[in-house]
Amino acid sequence: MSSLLMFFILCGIIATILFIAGYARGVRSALHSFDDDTIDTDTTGDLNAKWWMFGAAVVAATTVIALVGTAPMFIYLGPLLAIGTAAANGIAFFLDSPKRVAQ
Amino acid sequence: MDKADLVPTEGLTAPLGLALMIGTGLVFLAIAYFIKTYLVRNTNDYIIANRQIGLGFGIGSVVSVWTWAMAVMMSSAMTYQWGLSGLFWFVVPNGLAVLAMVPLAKTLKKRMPEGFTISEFIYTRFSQSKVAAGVVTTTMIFGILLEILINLKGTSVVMSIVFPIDWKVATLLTVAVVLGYSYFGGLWTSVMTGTINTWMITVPAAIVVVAVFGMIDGGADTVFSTIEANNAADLSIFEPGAAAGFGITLAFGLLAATVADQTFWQKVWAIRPNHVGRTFMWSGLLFYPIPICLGMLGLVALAYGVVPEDFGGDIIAVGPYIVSHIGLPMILIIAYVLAILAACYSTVDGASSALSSIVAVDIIRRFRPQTTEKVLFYITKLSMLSGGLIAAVIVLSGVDFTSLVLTTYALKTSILLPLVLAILWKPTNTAGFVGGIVLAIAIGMPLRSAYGELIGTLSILAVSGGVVLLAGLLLGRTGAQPSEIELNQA
Repeated sequence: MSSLLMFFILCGIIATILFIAGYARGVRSALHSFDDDTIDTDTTGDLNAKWWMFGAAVVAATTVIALVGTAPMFIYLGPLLAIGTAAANGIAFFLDSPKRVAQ
Repeated sequence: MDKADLVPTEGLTAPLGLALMIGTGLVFLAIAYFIKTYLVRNTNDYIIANRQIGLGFGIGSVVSVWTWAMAVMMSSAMTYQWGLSGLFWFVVPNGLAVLAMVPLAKTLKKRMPEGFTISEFIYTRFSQSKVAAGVVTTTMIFGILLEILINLKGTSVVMSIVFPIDWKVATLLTVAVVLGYSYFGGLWTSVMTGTINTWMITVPAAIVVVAVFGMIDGGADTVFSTIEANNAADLSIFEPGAAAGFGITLAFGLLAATVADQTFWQKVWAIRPNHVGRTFMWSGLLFYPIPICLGMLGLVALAYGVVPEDFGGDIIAVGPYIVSHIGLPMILIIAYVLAILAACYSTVDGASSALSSIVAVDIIRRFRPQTTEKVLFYITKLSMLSGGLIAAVIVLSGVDFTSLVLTTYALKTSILLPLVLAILWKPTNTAGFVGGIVLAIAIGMPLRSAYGELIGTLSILAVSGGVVLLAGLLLGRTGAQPSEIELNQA
């Protein structure tokens, strides 16, 4: 097994631990709040999206693909970022603010 | 790099393939049973998860439902066919289509916090116009059917390429497995299993791709230099062939696929309001690495110089072919198959869940409002099965479903701009909305068949959007603000 593959497996394990921890938190949160029938309309704290954010996302994705065509090492950027997706999904559970209590 | 080195891996037997399909389904069935027991009390919980979905499950479910089995394979296929420009035109509009939901979702969630379906919004927005709502409902149902159908087809291709499994058996088993577990918990099941699927299509898939390069002497360096020597244009994202060949029309098609899809709108109303924008923004960003990662398999195929005849003639099979023929350890081939199964299962259960919300809200509640909650709950659960069963019959019958594809394409593309304008532009009225869609199909589809997909798509968009704008400017706004609608609680 190459050291590169071992590095990716290690990254995968870390991402998986984050994912599982987040998922478990999400399940606990769902069990806690699933029967709250109040309609929450408070959007405070949600993303205030700006058009430049979409442009930046497109530029970032384009850059990653374009880089693959410039040097072989960038071929591994996609897999690394894909592992990052799992990790970020796990982290998202921890950024999940609990539902507000109805006034 | 010699393609003669690519030989089928020993041990990929039919029982192993079947065990993977059934085993995954059993795990999800256990999760679904837990959800049914602890999280689902009534129709409201079943179709909208009582609007309690948070950021983590929101992101996980949106990413997984948008990552179709076909998308997992198409990213490799488009790279194989067009080089990196193919990957670029496949990937960039894909993520952008999810990002495009951010302003629309936030606006609609704010205007109609207690909504369930996009058709319901149109019904309320245009003064209970059954025609306007009917067009949208029909579009959603066609779209869902096609979604399920394409994923079934994709999964059957993979299972029959990697394992000696008859594609009809694979199709039937996929439907039985997905409907078996998704029946129990509705949207909660779809969301919770979908989030697990997001892990399956990221971490294992990434390790498989790296391992594939590890099987090649010289790894990425050899692949890169071989492609550069054969055709350096394959390493550029600026080749115009891909844009003209499929890129531009795909971009519009993908936008229509999210904006005109109840699978996404159901989640908009199920996610807590302070997470809607963030969920779709994160989902768009986090989706991008998945097809980029899997697209690298297309580069391997290019470097080996394989031709479509090597893997049955259908280029979507190029990824599964490389993975199952390059000599990977069995565990990694299984991981890849599970990633594709995950992509298929999550999309089919998401689509089935969306269909159940349409049946409950746009059909039963609208046309049989006296239906009791208990009866509605049973009908809603049964409707969850209907889309998968119909799609399976179509796939198994072997009929050419080109007409279904064309109808769905026509409806979705023609509804895109009227729907966006109905959400964002106040003067949009019923006449413009319905007229725009009808005229776009009547004019655009003949143009499409005469002059090709690009001209047809642009015509449909121009006519549908133009008619809505014109009617809005000339006639002004009709209809009322969305009123509050809520299903009965048990």
